[in-house]
Amino acid sequence: VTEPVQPEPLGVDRTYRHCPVDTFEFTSTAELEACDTPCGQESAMQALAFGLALEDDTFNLTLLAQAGCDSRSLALSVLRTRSAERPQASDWCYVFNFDDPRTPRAIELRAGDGQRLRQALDSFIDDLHTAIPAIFDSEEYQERQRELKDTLQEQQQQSIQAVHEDALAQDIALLTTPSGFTFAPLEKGDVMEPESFQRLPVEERQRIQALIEGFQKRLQQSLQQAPRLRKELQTRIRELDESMVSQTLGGLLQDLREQWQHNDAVLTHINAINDDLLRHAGLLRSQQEHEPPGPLLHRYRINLIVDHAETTGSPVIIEDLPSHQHLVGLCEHVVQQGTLQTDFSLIRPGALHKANGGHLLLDLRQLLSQPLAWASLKRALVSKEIRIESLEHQYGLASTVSLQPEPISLQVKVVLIGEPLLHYLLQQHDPEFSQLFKVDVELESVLPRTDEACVRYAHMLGGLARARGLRALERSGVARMVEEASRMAADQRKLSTHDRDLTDLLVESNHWAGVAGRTLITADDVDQTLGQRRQRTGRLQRQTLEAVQRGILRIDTAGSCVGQINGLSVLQLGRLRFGRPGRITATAGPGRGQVIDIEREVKLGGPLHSKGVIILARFIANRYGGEQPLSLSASIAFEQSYGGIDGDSASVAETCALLSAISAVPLRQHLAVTGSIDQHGAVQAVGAVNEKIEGFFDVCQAIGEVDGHGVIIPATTVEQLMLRSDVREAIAGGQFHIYAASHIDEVLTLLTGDAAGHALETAPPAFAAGINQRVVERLRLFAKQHRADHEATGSKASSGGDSEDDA
Amino acid sequence: MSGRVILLANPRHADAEALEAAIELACWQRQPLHAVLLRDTAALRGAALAGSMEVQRHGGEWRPLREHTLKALLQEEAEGYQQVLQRRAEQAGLRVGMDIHDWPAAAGVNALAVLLSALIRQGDSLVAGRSMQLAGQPRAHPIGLAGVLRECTVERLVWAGNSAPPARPGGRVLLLLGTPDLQPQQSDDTAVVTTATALRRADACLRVALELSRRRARPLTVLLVGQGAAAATNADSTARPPRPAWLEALIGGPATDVRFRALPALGSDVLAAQLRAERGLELVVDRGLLLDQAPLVDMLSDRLRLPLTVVDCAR
Repeated sequence: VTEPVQPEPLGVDRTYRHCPVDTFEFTSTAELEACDTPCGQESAMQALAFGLALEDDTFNLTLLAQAGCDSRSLALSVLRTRSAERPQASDWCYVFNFDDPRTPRAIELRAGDGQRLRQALDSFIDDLHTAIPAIFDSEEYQERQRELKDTLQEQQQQSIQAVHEDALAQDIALLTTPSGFTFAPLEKGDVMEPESFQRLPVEERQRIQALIEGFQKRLQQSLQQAPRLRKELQTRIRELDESMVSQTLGGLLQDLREQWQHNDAVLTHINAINDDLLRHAGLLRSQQEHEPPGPLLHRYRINLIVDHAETTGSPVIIEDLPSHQHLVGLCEHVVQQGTLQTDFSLIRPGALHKANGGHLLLDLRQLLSQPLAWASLKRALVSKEIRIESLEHQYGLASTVSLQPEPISLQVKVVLIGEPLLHYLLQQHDPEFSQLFKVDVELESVLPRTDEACVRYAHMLGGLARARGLRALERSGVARMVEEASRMAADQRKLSTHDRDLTDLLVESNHWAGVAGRTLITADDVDQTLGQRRQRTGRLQRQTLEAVQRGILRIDTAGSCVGQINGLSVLQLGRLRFGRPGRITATAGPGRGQVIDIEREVKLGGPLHSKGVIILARFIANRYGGEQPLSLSASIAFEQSYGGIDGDSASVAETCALLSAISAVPLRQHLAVTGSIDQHGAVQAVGAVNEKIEGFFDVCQAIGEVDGHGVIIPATTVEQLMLRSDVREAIAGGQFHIYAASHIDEVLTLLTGDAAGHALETAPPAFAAGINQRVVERLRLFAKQHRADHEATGSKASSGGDSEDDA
Repeated sequence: MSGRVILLANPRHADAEALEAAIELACWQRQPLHAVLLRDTAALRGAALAGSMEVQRHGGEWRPLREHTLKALLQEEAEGYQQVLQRRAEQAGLRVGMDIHDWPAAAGVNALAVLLSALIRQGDSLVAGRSMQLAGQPRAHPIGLAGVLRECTVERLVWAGNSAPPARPGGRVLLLLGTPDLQPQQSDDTAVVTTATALRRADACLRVALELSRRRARPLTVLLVGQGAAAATNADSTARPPRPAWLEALIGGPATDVRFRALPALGSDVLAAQLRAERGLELVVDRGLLLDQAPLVDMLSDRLRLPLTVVDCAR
C-alpha cells in the first residue's frame, strides 16, 4: 500500500492532437479524386453489396447509422450502381374488368409497352369517335335500318290496309279516331248517316253489323301483332347494330391484336373490349348525334400506374413519407352529383408499385410513425403481392363505392435506413422483422486516425465539397477538418464518419471562404465557422455565464468549502451542446446508513444517476465502514438544478463532496471534477470531457479567475481531449490545468491539497492520515452517537410500551 | 314583308319539327304565324251509328265509341295543339292565329287545293310536315309532300317532315338549282327576256339558300342540274368544275363558303349520292325542278328526309 500520488497537470500537447499540414502532399483537394467508398465504410459497403446481390425475397436490408451519417446518399449510390446493371422492371397498368367492375384487372407489360398500349388504345378510342358516328350515319346503315322499320310498318300497314280494302269492298269504311280505329257503313262513298242506317231493314243492319264485327276482329288481330313486330324489329336492329359495329371494329381490333399478340393479358382485354362494344352497340347508336358515350369508351383506356419507358435498369425508389397509402397505393374518388365515385382510372400507385422489380429505400423511423404502414409493408413482403386497400374501408369509416383492384405480384428489395436502437427494438418485439430483414448493414461512426486514413479523408472531403459545388479545400483546411473530425468523434485516435455533419461544416466554411475572398477553404475558414456557430447558438450559454457572473447561479471558484464541489454537466439542446459547472453539495450526520439522493427523491434523477449514487454509497460503506454498518445519514444534491439529471459522470464529484461532508475536510473550489466511480474507488471514463472542461474554463474566464483553476478528469479520457484553442493557450501558459486521475484518492489529494492517506491493513479499516483517516474517525463518531440516540429512544420506548426496529 | 307564315298541321300527328320550322321562319321573316289545323271528322259520323265500336290502336281492344266522347277527344286534340303552339309562339315573341278545318276522311288532294287556294295570300309562306303524310293511316287519301307541292304555290314552302340529320362537322346547306339556259335561241328580244327570267329565278333560289346558309352558319353548296352543268363536268357527277360566271355574278363575288357542284341529270340516285358526299344538312330546291318528278319527291320525303325549302321561282 503506497501513499496516493498527486497527479501532475497534463501538458498541453496531450490536450489536442494536431494534424500536421505536411501529412498531405497535395495543395488542395481539387487535385484529388473522390473516394469510391466512403471512408471507414468498407465493411458496410461489402455487407450492402452482399445483401443486394442475394436474390431471395426475404433478404431485405436494414442500414443502421447514427444521426449525422448520410446513410441515404450512401445507400442510393450503391443502389443506383447496382440497378444500372439489372434488367428493366415491368410496366403495370389497371384496366376495366368487364365481368366485375369492382375488381379492376392488373396487366403486366414489358418496360415501355405501357405507353405503347395506352397510345394504341387512346388511338383506338379516337378512331371509335369517328368510326361509330360513321357507322350509324352511313347510308348503308340508315338504309338497312329504314328497311327494317319500313318492313315492320309495311307489315302493319298491309294488314290494316287489307282490312281496309276488304271492308271497302263491302261498302264499309275504316276510320281513324284519336286512339284507334272504327268501322262505318258507306253510302255513295261517304259514311252513312245514322238516320239512313236506321232506315235499313233489320236483317241488313244485322248483316252490316256482323260484317263490321268481323272486320273489327281482323283488325284486332292485326294490331295485336304490333308488339311482337316491334320486338322483332328491335332484335333485328340490335343484330344490325352488332353486325355493323363488328364489321367496323374488325379491322381496328385486328391491328391491335396483331400488335399485342405477345401479351395474353392484353389480348384478353382487347377481346373483352370487342365483346363490350358489341354488347353496347345499341347504346352507341342511341347516343345524341351518334357520338359514342364518353363513360363507355373511358372504360377501354388503361390506367398506366407504373411506367418504366424512361427508366434505365431496375427502379430505385425513395419514399420520404412511407404512409400506408404511399406504400400500397390508393383509389381516389371524385364527386359526382354529391357522391364520391371511383373507377379503375383513379387507382394511384404506391412506392411498392414503382419499386417493383427493383429497390425501395425507406426511413425506418418514418415508416414506424405512419399508421399501419409497417404492417402493410410486411404484409406485402410476406404475401409477395401488392393489394390496394383503403384505411377508411378497413376501419369502416367510409361507405362510398370502392374498388378491390387485383393484387400485383411483388418482387422488391427493401432497404430500411434507421437508427440502431429502432432496429434492435424491432428485432426484439417483432418476430417477422428478422424473417424479412435478414441483412444488417451497420455504418461505422468513426474510423482510426492514421496518416493513411487522413489522406483518404482528404479525398472524401474533396468529394463532398465537389458534390455540393463548394470550393476545394486547401490542405490546411483539410488538416483542420481532420482535427475537428477527431473532436466530433471525441477521440484523438479516431475520425468521425458523420459525413452529413462534415458537409454542413464544409458548406459554412465555404461561405466564409467566399466572404474572405478566398478560392480555397482554409483552416481559418473552418475556425471562423466554428466560432460563428458558437456565437450563433451560444445564447443559452451566454445567459448561463451571465447568471454566474451576477451570482444568480452560484459557482464557487475560489477558496475551500466543506461538503461542496464543482461538478460538470453537459447541456444539449438540439445542436447546442456545452458544459456547465454546477455545485454539488452533501451533508452527513449520524443515522441508519442512508445516503439520500435528493435528485432521485424528487424524481429529477435518472436511473444511471441513481445507480452512481448507490455505488458511491456502497464504496464509502465498504471502504470506510468495513464490516460494520454505516451509522450515517447523508444527502447529496445538485444545487440550482431544476431539470432532469442522468448519467453517472458526477459520481466521483459526489463521492468527494460526501466524504468532505463526513470528514468536515474542506475541498478546494478552484477545481471541477468529472468522472464516475466504481465500488473500489477507481475513476472511470465519462463522455463529453471537452465540453465539460471548456464549460468550466468559460465560467472561470467569465468570473475572471482562470489562473490556477483546473479540471480533474478520468485518466482514461485523456485521449478524448481535443480542446478549444483558447483553453489550450491557457494550459500552455500554466494558468489552467487538467488533471488525470485514476483513483478517488488522487482526486481527494488534489481537492484537499493534502495526501488522502493510504489504507492500513487493519480491521476495522484505518488510513495513514489525511481525509481518509478523518472519514473513518467521523464515521465511528457517528456510530457512537447513533447508538446513544438509539439506546435513549429504546429506553423511552420500553417505558412507553413501544419499540422501534434497529436499522 | 306583308305575308304570313302558314303552318298546316293535323293535330293528331302534330310534328314538332314543322312547328319549330314555322316559328323559326316567322321569326326570321318577322311575319305573323297562322296555324291551320285539319281536324279529321269522318269518324264522328260513324260514332253516331248505334253500336259502333272503337278498336284501340295499341293492343287492339274494343270499346264502345260514343259520339260525344269522340267529339270531346277531337276537341282535346285541337286544344292541346293550340296550347303548345301558343306557348312556343309566346316564347318566340310571335303573334299567332289559328283556324280549325274539319277534314273528312274522303277529302283528298282536291280538298287540299280548295283549302289552300282559300287560305294562301300574296307573300305567304307555307310550312307543312309529317302530319300531312298521314302516316299509319289507311292509304285512302295520301297527301304528303307530293300533294302539298302540287297544290301549293307560295313563294316558299318549308317541308319539315323530318328531323334534321346530326349537325356533323362540315355539314352544308345545299341548293338544288336548274341551269338557266343563257344562250339566246333567237336573235330577238324574246331571248333576252328568257335569259333575264332564268337568272331571276336562279337568283331567288340562291338568295333563300344564302340566307339559310348564313343563319345556320353553314357553308353552301350549289348543285347545278342541267345540260350546261353536264358540259362543264365531262359527265362526271363528282367533278368540281370552276364556278360559272353567272353564278359568280349572282353570288356577288368570290364567296369562299359557297361551293359549286354539277349534276349532269336529276336522277334520284345521283342526287342522293351528292347529298351524302356534301354532308347535306338542309336542302333548298327550285319548285320547278320537282314538279313531275315523283320519284325524286318520294326520295326526298321518304329516303333522304332532309328538311326541305321549296322556292317557287316562277312567281
